[in-house]
Amino acid sequence: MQNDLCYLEKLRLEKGEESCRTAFEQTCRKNRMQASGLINDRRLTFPTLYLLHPSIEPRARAMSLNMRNRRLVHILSELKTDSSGNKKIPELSRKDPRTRSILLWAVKTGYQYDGDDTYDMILDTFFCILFKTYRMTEALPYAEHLLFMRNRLNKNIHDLVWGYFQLHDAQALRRMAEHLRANDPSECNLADELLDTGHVCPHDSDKKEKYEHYRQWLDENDGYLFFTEENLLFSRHPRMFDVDEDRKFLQKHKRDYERRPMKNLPQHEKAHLEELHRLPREDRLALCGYSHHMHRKDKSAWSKWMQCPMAEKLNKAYREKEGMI
Amino acid sequence: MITVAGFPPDASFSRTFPANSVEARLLSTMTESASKYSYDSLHTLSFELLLRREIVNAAQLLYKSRFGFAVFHRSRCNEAYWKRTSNGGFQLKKNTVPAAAIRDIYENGSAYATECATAMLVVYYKAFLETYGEERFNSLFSDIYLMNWHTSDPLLKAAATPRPVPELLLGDRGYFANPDVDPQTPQWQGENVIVLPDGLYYGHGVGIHTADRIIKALNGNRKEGATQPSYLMRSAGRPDIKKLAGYYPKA
Repeated sequence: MQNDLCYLEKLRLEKGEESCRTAFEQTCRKNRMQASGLINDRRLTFPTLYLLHPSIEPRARAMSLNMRNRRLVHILSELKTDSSGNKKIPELSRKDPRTRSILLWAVKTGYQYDGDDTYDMILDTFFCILFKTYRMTEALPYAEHLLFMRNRLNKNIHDLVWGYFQLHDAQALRRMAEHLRANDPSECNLADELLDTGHVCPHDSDKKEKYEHYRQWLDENDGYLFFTEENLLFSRHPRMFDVDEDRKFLQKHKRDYERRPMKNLPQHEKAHLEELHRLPREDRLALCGYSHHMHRKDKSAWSKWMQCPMAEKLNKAYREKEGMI
Repeated sequence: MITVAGFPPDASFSRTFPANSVEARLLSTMTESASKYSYDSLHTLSFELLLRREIVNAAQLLYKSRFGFAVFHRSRCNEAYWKRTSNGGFQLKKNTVPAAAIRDIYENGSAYATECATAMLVVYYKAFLETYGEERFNSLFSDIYLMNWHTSDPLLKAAATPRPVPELLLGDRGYFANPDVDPQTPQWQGENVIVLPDGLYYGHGVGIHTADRIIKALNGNRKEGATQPSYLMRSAGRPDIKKLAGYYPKA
């Protein structure tokens, strides 16, 4: 792959950032066309564009930059001078497939680079936009890599974590669950915390058991999951997603992962829910789990079970849980 | 209602607080509430009232201190007392007096800038300082790390994990969520606030306002085509009063 590097990349990686900066600055002074050609090289990466931005910015109008580089130079100029992090750039607020592909290119070529605070802030912003505005699952692996890398380096992960879960898709949870069985304990611990496995897995389980238990839980609850507004600014142990117990009990699946209250339920279903809400958490979990399994196994038996008095419903649910059915 | 060792507190207890004081307002809210506020002793109840009063004061003073707002990647602090860590937090420097470092934030607010969660930690530490006094505070909190709830002191664990509450009380940490926030400004995904008297809230970066004004401010930071307004969550972060009262001398 090293052979496929462009001149500026090679310079940055082999001779260091300062050499790359100096060489590019000299080229800019001598020959702007040549400098434009170096930046427009299709093999250029975002970290190099970021590194050379101070040389490009004052000459950007005079250079013949391609559309991607022109727009990124403008975005970087705006974000780099934002002292509090509150600035908004109108073109990043609008949904636009060209912006999406530019941001995707930046994170795809920039996620492995351990940059300074400003670089991290900019990359976080790009990831947040890709996940929340464009629901871009393609960016998940890059965000994950960056998340665990930053965690190892004790760097800030708040906005990256928030952005990751803003995808509002169980794919993010499935990918994160893979890290539960990682060799690096810090990776397992972070995945453990972000997925809040304490609510799902037995406390004494090892990492393999935890992974399997969690995957089973995800498979069972995928149709009832929704994402919450909890985050690391709110809580030490945020629950960034949860199971809609009402839907699971009544077996009303959703097509997305938003919290959607059920409207216009018939009277008998409302009565079922009222009964459910009066029960302690452990009973509710047993009932919802049983309802899910029974509905998959035998819909007519499930309908009969739903008509039973609550005590009988619970009895059957617990008997199944204890392996007696 | 309030119970102390199973019984309502003596009527004379509430008379020890001036009318309209934070303590008197708290007692009134808790007494009239349909929820039960139970205490093992008058010492614990008195401590809670005192600590909540100091939380309210600390929040109001932090607002006046010109304590700056910046995202973690842009945070800054007075390096005479604090070391800015690689994740944007502030670690108390070795051989630094914790009380002096906390007071410096209030005296040189503009030398500091950070997000709302860190500001809440500052409020708690200032409240502890005023409640316990310098000597005890310095021995209880000798290694302060100001960043987020995850890295907070064990004595702040309960406050770091909000739980659903029947009502918000003065000095509670509340949270306004902003589900449709513009992803360009993820720091406005929500706002940590301290509940103040007269229907006001202190939120770092937004100031002291009513719930409506804070919601309006957050709504102003939503994405294009947003449909969900921001709202005040029905949860509160509350310190472990029983545990903290154990460190407070009995009268």
